[in-house]
Amino acid sequence: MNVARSIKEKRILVLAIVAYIVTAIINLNVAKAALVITGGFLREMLSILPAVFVLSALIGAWVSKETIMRYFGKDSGVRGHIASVVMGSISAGPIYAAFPLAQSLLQKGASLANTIIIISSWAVIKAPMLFVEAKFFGFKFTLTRYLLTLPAILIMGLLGEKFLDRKEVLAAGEQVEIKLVDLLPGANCKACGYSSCKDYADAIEKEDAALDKCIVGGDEVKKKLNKFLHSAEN
Amino acid sequence: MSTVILLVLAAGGLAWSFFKDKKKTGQILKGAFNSFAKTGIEILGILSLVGLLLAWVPESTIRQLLGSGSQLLSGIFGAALGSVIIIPAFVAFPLAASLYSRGAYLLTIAAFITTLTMVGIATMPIEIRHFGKKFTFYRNLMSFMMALIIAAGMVIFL
Repeated sequence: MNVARSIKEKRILVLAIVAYIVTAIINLNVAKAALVITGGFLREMLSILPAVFVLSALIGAWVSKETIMRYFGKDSGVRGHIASVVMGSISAGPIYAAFPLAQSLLQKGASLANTIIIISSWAVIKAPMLFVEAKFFGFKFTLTRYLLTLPAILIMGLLGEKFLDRKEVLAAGEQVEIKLVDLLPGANCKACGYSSCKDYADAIEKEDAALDKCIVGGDEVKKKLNKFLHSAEN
Repeated sequence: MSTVILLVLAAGGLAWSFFKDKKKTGQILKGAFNSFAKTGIEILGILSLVGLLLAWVPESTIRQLLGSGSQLLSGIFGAALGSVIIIPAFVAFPLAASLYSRGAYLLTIAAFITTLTMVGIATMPIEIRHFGKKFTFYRNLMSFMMALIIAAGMVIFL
């Protein structure tokens, strides 16, 4: 286990804990109030996030590339955009819950435009939220805002498609290497020449390292890696 | 309501998957748990910090910031504030509505509630993890500008 990496992953949490301790020393009441607010956030997070990750993993494992490409791919056209808005708006939860799901769709062949549309409509277009908003601002206000937001989301999707490179975005995401490392035995024996299984997985992912270096896993692991890389690339 | 749909979908999908292939379902659950643990730690940290920020900055300060100044300036300010903070809708809507009824500009309020959900500065580390810096930067920048345009459109139409 790489200690520096694990600290890096937890740095925000560490920062938060330090900030809470400092706050509690300065003003205990503020710290208490903050805990109540954070508790509310956590309830929302815990009620949604596990389901989101299970769904993302299910899509990754079961839904074929062809299916995703047909509905959300580059050639899916206006119907793909509509499907993306619907997909985003029926889903629950704050915007950060949209990222894992949208990423697994992108990996399976959804276009960048539709990825952006899914994330944005996940954040803004929400049937239950519409009623809450209308309760406070009236239907005219709410409807106008939604009618203006819808084309804005479409435009953002199309702009993103035009100015961002799909391959680059895919490579920047972290998920692929996590799955790759899962295929390795996890012995961290260093026989491959790398300091851990994860480093070897990183090297395969980023530097095209040879697939036959894992001594422990042997031929079977080599085949698995090969199969995985081929299903991930096309 | 949509939380229930999501849960039913995930549970139903898992049941189906388990029926088809037990071993694969085990791997799916393991993968889901790994990414949940990884992202969960990050989100926990971020939400705790936002909670702390909201506790330090009282509602009255937010009111002051959004309810004064020139229309354009407070519009941009509303969009900026909405980008930085995360607050649940049931807190945001009553707050924004009460500001609006007390004379805050329509532009400000519309920009604020639009960026509140669409732009996420606080959640950027998570977005970067999934899509990289470039995508994250452009998506948030576009959303910020679109929020201002949407708000301007509302001023014109209402």
